[in-house]
Amino acid sequence: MRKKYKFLNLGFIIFIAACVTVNIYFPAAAVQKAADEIVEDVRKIEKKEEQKPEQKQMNLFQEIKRLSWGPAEAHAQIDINVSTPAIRALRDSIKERFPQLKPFYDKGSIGENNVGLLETRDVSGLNLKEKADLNRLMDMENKDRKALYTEIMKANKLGQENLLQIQKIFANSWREKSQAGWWIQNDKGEWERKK
Amino acid sequence: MTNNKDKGPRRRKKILLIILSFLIFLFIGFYFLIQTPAFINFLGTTIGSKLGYRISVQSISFSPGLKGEISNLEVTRLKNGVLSFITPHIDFKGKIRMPLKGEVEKITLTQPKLVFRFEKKKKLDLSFIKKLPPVQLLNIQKGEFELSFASSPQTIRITDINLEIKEFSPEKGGKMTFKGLLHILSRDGKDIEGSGSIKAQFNLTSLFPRPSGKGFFEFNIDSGSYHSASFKTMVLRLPVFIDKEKMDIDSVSLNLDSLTYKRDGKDTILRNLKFQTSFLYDFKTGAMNSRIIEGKVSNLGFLKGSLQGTLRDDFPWRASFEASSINFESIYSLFKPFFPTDYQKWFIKGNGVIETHLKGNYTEKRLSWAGDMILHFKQGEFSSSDGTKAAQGIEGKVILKIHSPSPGKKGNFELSSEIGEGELLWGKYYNNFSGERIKFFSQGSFFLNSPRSLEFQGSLDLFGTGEYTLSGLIQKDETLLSLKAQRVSHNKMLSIFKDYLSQNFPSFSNVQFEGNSQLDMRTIRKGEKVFLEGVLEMKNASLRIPNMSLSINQLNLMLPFDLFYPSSSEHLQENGKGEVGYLRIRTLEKEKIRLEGLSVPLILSRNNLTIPEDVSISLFGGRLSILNFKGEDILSSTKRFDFGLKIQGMDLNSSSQNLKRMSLSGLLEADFPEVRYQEGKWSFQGEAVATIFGGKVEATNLSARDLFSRSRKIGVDIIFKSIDLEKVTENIKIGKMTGIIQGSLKNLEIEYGQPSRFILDIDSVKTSGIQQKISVDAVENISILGTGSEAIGGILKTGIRSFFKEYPYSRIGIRCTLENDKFSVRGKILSGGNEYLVRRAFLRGIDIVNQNPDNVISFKDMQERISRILTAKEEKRS
Repeated sequence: MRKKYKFLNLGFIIFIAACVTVNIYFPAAAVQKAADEIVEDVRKIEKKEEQKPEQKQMNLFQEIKRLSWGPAEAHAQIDINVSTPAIRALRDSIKERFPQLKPFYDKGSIGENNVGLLETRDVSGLNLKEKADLNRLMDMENKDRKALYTEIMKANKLGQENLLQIQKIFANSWREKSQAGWWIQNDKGEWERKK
Repeated sequence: MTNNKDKGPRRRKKILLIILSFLIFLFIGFYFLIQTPAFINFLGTTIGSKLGYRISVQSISFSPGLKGEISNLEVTRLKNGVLSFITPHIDFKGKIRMPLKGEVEKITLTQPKLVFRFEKKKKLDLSFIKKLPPVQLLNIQKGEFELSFASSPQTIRITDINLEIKEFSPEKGGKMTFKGLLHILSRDGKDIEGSGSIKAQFNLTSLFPRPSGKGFFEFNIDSGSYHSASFKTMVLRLPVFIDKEKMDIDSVSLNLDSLTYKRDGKDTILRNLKFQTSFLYDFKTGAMNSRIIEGKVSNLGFLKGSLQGTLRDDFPWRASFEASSINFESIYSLFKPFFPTDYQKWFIKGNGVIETHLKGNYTEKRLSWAGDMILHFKQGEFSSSDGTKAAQGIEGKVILKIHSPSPGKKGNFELSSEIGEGELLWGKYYNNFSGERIKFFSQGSFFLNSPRSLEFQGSLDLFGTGEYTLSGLIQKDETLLSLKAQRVSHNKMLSIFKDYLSQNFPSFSNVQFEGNSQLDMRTIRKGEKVFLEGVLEMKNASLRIPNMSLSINQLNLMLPFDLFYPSSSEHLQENGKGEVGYLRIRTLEKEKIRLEGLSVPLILSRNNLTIPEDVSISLFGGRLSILNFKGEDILSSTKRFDFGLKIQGMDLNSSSQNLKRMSLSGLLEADFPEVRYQEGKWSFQGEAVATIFGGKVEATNLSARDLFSRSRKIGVDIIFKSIDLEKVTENIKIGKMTGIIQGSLKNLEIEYGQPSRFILDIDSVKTSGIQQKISVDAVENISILGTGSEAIGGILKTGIRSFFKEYPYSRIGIRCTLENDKFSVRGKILSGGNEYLVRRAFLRGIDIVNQNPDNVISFKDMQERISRILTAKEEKRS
């Protein structure tokens, strides 16, 4: 009888330990981090050293799980690498173009919309030559940005359905790193000057 | 005797008394008789029939003091009933002497109603006025006047008429004051309608044969409409002076609060219209002249003009007007409700002067006219709502001469225009056209009856780039246009696009394009479909693109074409004209490539481009052949190109001279029976084989995307066999190695000029007679590649090991992978728990062991390591 119980207990423990839950998650935090890095590089902004806690505070359930028995959670190993030749080339292109775009940001002619692209705001103060330059630069910038988001999606083997989310994550970065007085569009679609 | 004498006078008295009594009796009888409607009606009928009128009355009464009343008097012209007069009540009063003169002191008509019907081709007959007695004071209270037209649905009605005429007589007229409410009605409710009031004051000095006198008329119309136009609050004041010879209307003024035009549910409004002029009409000659017509419309500006004519016979007339301060912004605001929605938010600005001269006449019931209009404008400006299309500072003139059509015939026109200066923005295209002009001239005819049409021919001078002639026929369902462009200068045309090319295509920034072209093209539009056919020719042109090291001399092109848009499968299948053209180039040079005597036949028909013969060119000592080239549906986004490609005996040494740090000697053969381009992607079915380094390198699954842009992507699988390492390391200076290797480079992708992924496998092949050795340099470099460190080199080159320059090996097995910027080097030789890249020979040799199999470095680091290897070798050599 005892043996029976022993086997039962062992079987139970093995059963519990063998239960593995695999969670696949959209690496929003990682992509946001990558986006921040790209935007800082493009706009030549000095990185702020952030003191992040080594570990998040865990709740009781997670503490118990740490004891390595019971159902285990495994996260699919997604290695976020936002460096491919395409991404590098697009970053460089966006970076090179920024000094030409900056005067138009300062004048309020363009702004960062809420899907990570540029939009015209007020071109009334520009002469025709400047408008032609702006049209050309915006066209090239938005093409490069769209290509960049697509390449990041492909590099991380994310599906097409994730593209909009990547755009919105980048939109956060573009808006966050915008200078005071630049136009930005909030998530409600309203335009405002960055404070 | 005395009694007889007394009887005579008494008898006479008696007779007189009887006669007097009889007369009194008669008079009294007549007095009462005349007050009976029956008698009056009998009298009226009798007299009326003689005069041509029917007169009826309900009652008539006289009172002492020569006063009288008539009730319900009705007078109607017998002949055609065009005139009728009804009044419920007439008061009249006289003095004793007046009846003797035939005059009445006062006539008051209460609520009279006068109805006229204007017959076609008949004059208005007012001769009944002659029959009216003179009246000291004619008073009409709350009268009504109605004028209708036999040939028109309109009726003019004036109600609440209060008219006072003092000292009226048919000969002299009288002093008239008049007030009434005006109503213009339309039976069908569509044409002319209006309501308002009239007032007038006139001192008539005579009535017949023609009224003469002086006074004014003033019309106050609250609202009115004419077909699609309507207006509010119109005031027309006409001061009039008429004598026997002329009518002079001095300072007539017309003011309108607003004039609205509606069509298809949209409307536009002119506000505050004011016009002033003076007219002189000569009764004898029928000539009418206006002095200066001056006008102002608040949203259009000032207008000036004049009008002359003759109001008889065929009514010849002349008119001219000038608007000296046209504001295009205001005019655009007026017309924009009728534009398509996209264009209603555009911005248009500018100033101009317009002069118009017209003349015409009225014959065969039609108004015919001819004239010219000249428009000068400056500071012209427009901008689309999103600001991507705009122009500034445009000036020019437009001259239009036009002749209206006769019934059933065509009208004629002549249009010329010259526009220049200014700046133009169209998306990314910008140019400053200072000093440049476009000139256009056209003449033609138009037909306004159904089916409407416009036919024209003309010429165009487009900034002096060439000679352009156009002709066309425009109809509702079909449009035919023909364009001939001759001696079109490439150089001049390029100058218009120079800035655009240099900004958007930096490779073309210094392009030089000499020579000229001709184009003969016809366009047919049927509904939504457009067909184009013609011939494009280019003779002895030359093209130089320094940034691409490209030079083409004596370029000749003759290309007949027939195309259509939009694309449709049914038209694609149809047989087109299929005329064969050609492209001939005497010399083409691109870097080290030089082609001579290139001749390519071309067929461009039904949106398909075909090269009917195989094209073969000599290239790097071999031949490159393009077979069965066909482009389908080339005007659509889904265009597709298919052809076969063969390369025979091409010398790799010549073709690879651009490769730095490397010289390849060998031959290239390729056979791609099917090469396809579609939706930006190239795919190659077949293989290319290079005989190089003593072995063969085969390339298959070749593909490419965006081949001619910065973001080009190339994919290929490569297999190499029997490659002599000694020959490889003679060319690629990584340290001497001997032996035979084979392997593959699978899934190779190159993007933006750099490899983005590959799997490289290298395996040695033991071959009798071939030694397998690896030099210390090679070992050092493999170590750098794997570890990033040169330390191993230091070790091998010191101490007793420095005597050995090379080491034998038994096997090489290396796998390198690159994926998402992660590069790894792995050994394929597994033995004793170790992973070897190179395994030593039996007694002596060197093992290269991968101690960190999971080590991954970035591509950037890999590039740096390779660069270090190759740079170090170059420094050693130099």
